[in-house]
Amino acid sequence: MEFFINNVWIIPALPLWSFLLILFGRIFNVYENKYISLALTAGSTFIGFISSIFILFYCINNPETSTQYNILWLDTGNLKFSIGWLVDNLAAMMLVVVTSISLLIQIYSHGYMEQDKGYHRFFAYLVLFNFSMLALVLSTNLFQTYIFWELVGVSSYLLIGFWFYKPSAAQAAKKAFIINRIGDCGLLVGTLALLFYSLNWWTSSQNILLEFATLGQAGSLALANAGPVLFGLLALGLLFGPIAKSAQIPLHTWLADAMEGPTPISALIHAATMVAAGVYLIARLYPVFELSPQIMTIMVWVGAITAFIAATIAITQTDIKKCLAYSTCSQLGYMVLAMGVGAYSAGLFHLITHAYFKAMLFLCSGAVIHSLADQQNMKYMGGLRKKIPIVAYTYLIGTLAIAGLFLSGFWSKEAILLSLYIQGKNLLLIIALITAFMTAYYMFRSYFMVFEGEYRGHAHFHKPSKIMTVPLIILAVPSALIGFIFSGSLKSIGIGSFDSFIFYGHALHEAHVSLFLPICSLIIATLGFLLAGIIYWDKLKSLYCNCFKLVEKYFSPLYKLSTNKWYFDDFNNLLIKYLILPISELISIFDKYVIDGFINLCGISTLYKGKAVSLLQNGNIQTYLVTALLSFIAIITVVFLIYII
Amino acid sequence: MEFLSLNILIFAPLIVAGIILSPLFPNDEIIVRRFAKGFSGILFIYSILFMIFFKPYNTGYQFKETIKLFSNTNWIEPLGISLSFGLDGISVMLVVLTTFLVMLALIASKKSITTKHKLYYSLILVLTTAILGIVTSRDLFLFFLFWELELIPMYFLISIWGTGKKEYSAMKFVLYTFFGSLFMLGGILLLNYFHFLNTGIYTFSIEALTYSRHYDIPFIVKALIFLGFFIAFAVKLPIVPLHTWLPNAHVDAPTPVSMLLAGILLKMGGYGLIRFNTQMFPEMIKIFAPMLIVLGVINIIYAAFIALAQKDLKLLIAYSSISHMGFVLLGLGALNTIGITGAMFQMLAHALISAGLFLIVGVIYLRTKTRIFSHLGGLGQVMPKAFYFTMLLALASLGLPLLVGFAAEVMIFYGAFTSNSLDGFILSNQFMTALAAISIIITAAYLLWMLQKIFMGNMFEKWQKAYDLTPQEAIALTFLSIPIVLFGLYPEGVTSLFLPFVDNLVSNLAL
Repeated sequence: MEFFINNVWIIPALPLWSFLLILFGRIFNVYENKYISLALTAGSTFIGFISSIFILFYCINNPETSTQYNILWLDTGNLKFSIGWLVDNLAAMMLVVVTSISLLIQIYSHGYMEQDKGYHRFFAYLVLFNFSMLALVLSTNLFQTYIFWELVGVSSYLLIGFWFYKPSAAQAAKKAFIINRIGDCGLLVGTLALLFYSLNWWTSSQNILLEFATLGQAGSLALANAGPVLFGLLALGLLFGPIAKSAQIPLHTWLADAMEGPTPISALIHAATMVAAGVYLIARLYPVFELSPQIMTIMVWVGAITAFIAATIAITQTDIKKCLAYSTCSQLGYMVLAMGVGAYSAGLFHLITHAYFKAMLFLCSGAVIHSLADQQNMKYMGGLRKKIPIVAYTYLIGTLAIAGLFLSGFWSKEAILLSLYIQGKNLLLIIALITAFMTAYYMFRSYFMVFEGEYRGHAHFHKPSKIMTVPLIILAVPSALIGFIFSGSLKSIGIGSFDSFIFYGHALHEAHVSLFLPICSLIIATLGFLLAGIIYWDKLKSLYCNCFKLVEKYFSPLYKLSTNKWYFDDFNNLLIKYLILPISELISIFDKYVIDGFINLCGISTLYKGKAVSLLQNGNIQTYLVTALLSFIAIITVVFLIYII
Repeated sequence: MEFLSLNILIFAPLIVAGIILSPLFPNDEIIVRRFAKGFSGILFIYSILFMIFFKPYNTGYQFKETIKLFSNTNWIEPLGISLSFGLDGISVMLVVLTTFLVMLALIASKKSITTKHKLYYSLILVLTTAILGIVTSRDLFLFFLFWELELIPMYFLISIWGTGKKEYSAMKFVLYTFFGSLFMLGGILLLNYFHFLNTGIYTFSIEALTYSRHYDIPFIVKALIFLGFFIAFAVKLPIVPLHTWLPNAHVDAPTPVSMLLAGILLKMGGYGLIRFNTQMFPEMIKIFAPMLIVLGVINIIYAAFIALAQKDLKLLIAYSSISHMGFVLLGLGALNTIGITGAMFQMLAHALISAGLFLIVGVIYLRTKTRIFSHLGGLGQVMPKAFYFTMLLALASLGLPLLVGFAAEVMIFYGAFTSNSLDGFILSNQFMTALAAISIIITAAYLLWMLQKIFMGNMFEKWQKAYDLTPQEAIALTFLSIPIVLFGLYPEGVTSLFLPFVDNLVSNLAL
């Protein structure tokens, strides 16, 4: 096992190697066979997965281990940036999550993309993403995180814009990158400021610059140097990175548009792994954020508001991927909220359960879309359970999990609610419960619309291949069980609870066991299920008394607010259209007519002066010499005068 | 290393230019081009040898050479002017960069130059001599001579082979540079005169003038000299508001000349700022550091905003050039090792990236005869290779990690952020750097918008027949991409060349 720990660099290095092989293989047309790209991609991930499993077991057996190795990347002046790999419990957990989901999605992608012209390009991008994400997970320091943070961003850009000839995809890719750049800008300035205010600590202690292991001490020094206000700004800058990457309000609008990419990408990058990197970074930077209570408060409210608003948007979406995208946004809000209130383990627990069930839900939606010839609108679906039962039942498992009905989502969500309850944050608890209700509602709504009732579409149906359904079945297992396994209920057979494995500070020992909250949230989720059933399920529709129409009638402003996504996009567009572009136009006009105009004016006036001066230039050598002499004397005199003064 | 002679490196292009231009040389397009390309390749390999045998830890000039006249005297002995050359940390990188980009520009010339081949190739080689002379001369007068010499081929290259209002643009470029040079000439003469007054020796030797440290020159004169040099280099870099020649010159110049203009000529401004304003006047640069940083931040943000509003592809790249050169100022204004190293590295990064982007502009213009965004779109479907190269260049330009632009930006941001060169000024270094950091958003916005407009989205029917990169273009872009990736992964490969020089420079500043 030591072998895997010491050679953990293999995990990101193999995907990079595969990327280069695919890239050069394509440039020089070495091969045409699609299975070679698939084998390179999935093979590298598979080896990564196996080593990750070994590393995870090693970490479980030796919970206090934290191994890191660094290579100096840039050594200039007093700046010494390193790149390396850090293995601790959190990284080991993330490695397993990323590699296992990646592997299944890569296999699934083969079925999904087989007919696409850009098959090899797709796998090259996919494996590039894998490399960046794994290197991000293994980062030893904030600087390395920044590097791979941007690289996952660019992989996401490439994959969203994979079908670049579609204008909407091109637009969405650009939007995703630019909004993420806003976060990156904050992260960059925050990183620089943190480094600046704690520079003495790093230079005197000979540590790796900005390494996570000692970020706490450096952070407190920075707090002492910068004072609370500047330190708060610094931490806010750092928080901007996760806000953009994890699609938190107000930088969340890119995530729904990102669904323009192929569905496996939505599952892998925009649901399971990359967007969760924001939460992962919050976990890594916890020692810094913790020092500033204001930032923790901001984090809490950003998370809570995102969870709530995204859920309200999701309840009216008719595009199945958009619905899932807003649900991702909302669940990420949950995680950020949990991190903000100090429920470190609960937040990360939710990250992991969410990664599995959301990846599965997206893959299900991909299978549905694929079998309906790219139909994404749920209005034109229905009754698909009889045609694709495997997809329907796995989707149902995912729905139960995310709604918090007994399957894995229940346990992680419960952990978050419990910590809110213990801390007495009642307002937040209510928001979280309302969100949970809405989550159950919109997820069952989508389930009923897609899989129950009569088929309402016209598209020709064809069955998804086995290569697409097998990953679904495999993913259903962790989606259903992972919450229960790590909930602490299996302590008797040696599997400890999640928060005894990954924790901040020291492990929490559950002192508070009450049945009130679980029952409460189960009831709420069931209510959501019933409401969705009443409106959308034929078998329950008999009960419903036009309440849907009533809602539409009396709550139409709210309804509109939701379908228009709270006007965030419109606001952004207005901002760009009426503020940023006019400013740049204005500066451009200023440049063209004022600055350049002035220069040209000088030019023209010189032309006229030149005519006057040309009278002097009569070809008479004596005149020239006299002029030259006089000028020389004048210059020397001036210089001499200056010297005397 | 007897065979490594700077004289040969500098004057061989001039001689070859003469050979090409001579009536004896066959007036055949293919022969002329192949001859020029072959020569530039040899010159590049020859300059690489200088880099290999260069000893970075020796901070003074190396490969020193002085051409003596017949009577074994200097060129203009009474005034202390000599034909002396040498290489040190900052010039060695620029020498290799120059020969490299000249080679690529010649490779890329095939399609865009259609007339007067003999004249064209010999002018490019004269330009090469001028630039190599600028970065290697150890004599101020010689430096000035080469500085002016460079204008002549540039004027003709733009005004003969250009497009649009080419005479206007060429004239504007020349007049602007003349305007700057005038101040520099004043500065050079003042410096020389006061050096004479203090020591009784006439000399234009850069080393002598640098290390005499000018204790006896009155402050006001020193400030005048400093500003004289500064204005000349500010025009070249260019610094807002002296930048308006650049968009015109770029838009109207032919593609290879645009590549050289952005790739090398702008770097002469940065070179001058480091060589003269920083190395020669350490105490003045400390006083003027706030000016450098403020102008740098204005350059970065102002030009980035203008780029956002451009409707012409070449203008967008031209303004992005101005914006990126602002980073050189910002890094220089930090006045610490890392900042100045970053500024040097940014010069390299920008040279490679902008040369590539201008080549791409030429590639697209050749196919479509337009540079207006609204007429372009969806070209990625018919020109996939051009699309991927542009994507790589655009990503490098917006500072994607592990590509060359990122390393430069990181060094500059870090240097500027941790610097204290603005102590006592109303704005702090930290604030100015944070302000400059906003540009990473705007840069991403305009470059990705450009990519989207040209290559993505729906394709116009009329571009159905646009062909992908020709072998020459593909080779030139591949050559540019290799160092972009390589030095992005391993920036120390370059920084180690000039790090000792910069260290020495900064320790002189502290005196």
